[in-house]
Amino acid sequence: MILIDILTDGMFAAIAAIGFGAISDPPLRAFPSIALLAAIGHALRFCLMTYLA
Amino acid sequence: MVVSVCDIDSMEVYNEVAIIPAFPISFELNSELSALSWEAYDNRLPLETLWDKYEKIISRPKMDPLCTLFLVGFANASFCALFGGDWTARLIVFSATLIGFYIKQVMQKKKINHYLVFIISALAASLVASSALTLETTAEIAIATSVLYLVPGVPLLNGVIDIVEGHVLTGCTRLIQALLLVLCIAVGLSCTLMLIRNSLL
Repeated sequence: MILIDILTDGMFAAIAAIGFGAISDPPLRAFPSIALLAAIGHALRFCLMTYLA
Repeated sequence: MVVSVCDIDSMEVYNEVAIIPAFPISFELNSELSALSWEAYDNRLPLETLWDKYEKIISRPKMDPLCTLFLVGFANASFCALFGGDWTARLIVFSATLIGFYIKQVMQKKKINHYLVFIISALAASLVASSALTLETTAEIAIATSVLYLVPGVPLLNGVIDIVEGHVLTGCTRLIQALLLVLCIAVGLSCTLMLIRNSLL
């Protein structure tokens, strides 16, 4: 269950990053890295806040 | 903006003062034009080729506004999810963002004052989101996250980066501009809250 929580958090962060990135008109090749960076970043935050607080 | 060009052989100096018009942020143009400037510096391209490449970059089609609209809608709904909203709240935030962002796009196309655009679209989005109050759902989260798409992230970040790099004046102007936009969001949102609190709706 822990893994699913982390993955859903990362997924939502990725969707949010893609959407808000789209406002600023980035090059198309940047989208995969935008999603990946946001997912890793927010999943890490989620882990630190939930399991190490 | 002041541009100075110096001819090394004849030591002639040309100056040009130009006004920089306000354009919407485009990271694609940023990166492509930056690449072009480095190409011009490295390969010593002739002026005609440079103009050709420049025109080609400028005339490239932009992302469809409808596509951006839906992406932003999904993004705001996921923010609602990240802040702990349930599925009803996510759906309401999605529709609120669609309406608010559409109003923003239309008003920006008509070149209406920025601050007015922000106030009105924040008001519209939060009004739509306040419909969550009639349902049994996480209404506070829905109202709070419905205006997040307006937060001027790029000017705020650029302002901080400018100040850290020593361009304090530019950084402060950017931060103050961003702060004004944030205040406009607050004005729009507080109009909705006042309407709701006094049960006018």
